[in-house]
Amino acid sequence: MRPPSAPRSTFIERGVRVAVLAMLLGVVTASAKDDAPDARLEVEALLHDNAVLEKRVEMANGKEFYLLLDPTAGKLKLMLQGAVLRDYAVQGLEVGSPRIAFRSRDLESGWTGRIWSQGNLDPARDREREHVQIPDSTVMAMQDSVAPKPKIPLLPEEIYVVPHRYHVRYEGGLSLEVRPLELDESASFWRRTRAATARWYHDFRASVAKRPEDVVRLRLILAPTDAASLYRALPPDTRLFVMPRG
Amino acid sequence: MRATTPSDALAAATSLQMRQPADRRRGTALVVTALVLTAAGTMGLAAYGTGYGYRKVEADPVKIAAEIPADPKALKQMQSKLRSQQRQLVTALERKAPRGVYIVIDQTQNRLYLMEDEKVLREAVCSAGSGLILQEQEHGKRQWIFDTPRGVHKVRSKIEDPVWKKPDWAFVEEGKPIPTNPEERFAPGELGEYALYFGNGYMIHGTLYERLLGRSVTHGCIRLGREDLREVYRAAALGTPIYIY
Repeated sequence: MRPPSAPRSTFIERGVRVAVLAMLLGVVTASAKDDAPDARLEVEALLHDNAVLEKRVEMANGKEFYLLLDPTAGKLKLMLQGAVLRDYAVQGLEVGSPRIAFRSRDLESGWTGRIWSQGNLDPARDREREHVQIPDSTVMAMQDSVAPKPKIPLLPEEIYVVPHRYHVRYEGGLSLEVRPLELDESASFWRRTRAATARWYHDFRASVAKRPEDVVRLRLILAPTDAASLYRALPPDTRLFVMPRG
Repeated sequence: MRATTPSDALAAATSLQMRQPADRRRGTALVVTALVLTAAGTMGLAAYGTGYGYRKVEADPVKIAAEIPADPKALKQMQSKLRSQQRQLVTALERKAPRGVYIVIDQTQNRLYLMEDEKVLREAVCSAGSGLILQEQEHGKRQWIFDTPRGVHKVRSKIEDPVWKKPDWAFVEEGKPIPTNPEERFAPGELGEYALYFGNGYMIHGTLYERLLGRSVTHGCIRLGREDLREVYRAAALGTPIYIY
């Protein structure tokens, strides 16, 4: 025979179990409900980050050199196939659009998070190639005694004069306007004024044109040595990716 | 009180009539001048405010076409799918980046950087291609362009005490006949103690003319000073990537 207390205790135990289960279920449901907005936020962030990563992978898979500009980190990197070749510290960064009588055009959206291509220096870093034609060996043998002294080639700093302000223009209307951090103090007041006026006139003409020279202009302030180095070293037809701020 | 005669009154009226148009003209001139100056000032100011307007770079999130589901289950699925996609993308990016030691050469400014995981281990002054174009006058009238090739290369072989096998252009440049005997092409000691060959006849090697380092003087190879070459040779293994820009 079963003791009379046994069914009662089972009943109580079952009751307790059901209550605990119900509580757990309640907690789980509540936490699931609380998780929903978090999950949504994470999905949004993941979509954003993956879109950026996709572009970076696309550039790393390409054969072109590219610049990766990260406004948040203040870095400009010259890269090739995922490798960092040079790293420049960005001292200042502003974005500009054509302005008429103090009224700026609306900035074209989506200029970040997009790959800009065919970037080239303006003014171009041109160097005339020297053609050498050596007289034939018999003439050389005759001239051996009066051979001219070989001239020492110039240093890159002497060959390439870096303008105070220069651009890297990309197809589609974005340009990087690179300026050194400090003004060229060695130049005279009049020279600086003339240069500033010339710059203003150039920008004035560029902005009032039917098709403005640059739809989006990024003004990048670099240390003078970095600005000069970038001008001398930037390969032709680079791509650019500006990391979007989420 | 002043006594006025009819003739005085007439004279006064006439002079007033005479004076009034002159004053009006003067007034008009003043107004026109003021207007012109104002217009000129406004135009000048407007011109001054024309060009490019700059502002700080603000948040500009990427526009995403994908729709985020409201259903928690579908949301979870999307979340896990995106996480896995992110892992794949990060892996793809990491796979592209060089691991360990790599060499970067700035051929315009004649600098070589020995790198490891984006850190510069050593910066060296080197010499890269001169960019000269050599034209042959005899025989086939061939042409050589002395550029250092941009792009990604790899260390294919490492050579101690390399011996330079002079190519045709070396003889053309010197104005000497191209030898028929291959033995006459060998020039020991010209390349320094070590050479790192990276394909198509290009190498990183030493030089007898260290005073020319920093200048673009080579036929496309990279010349380094003795100490830098030793360090680079020691650090770079076969397969080490060389990035030239």
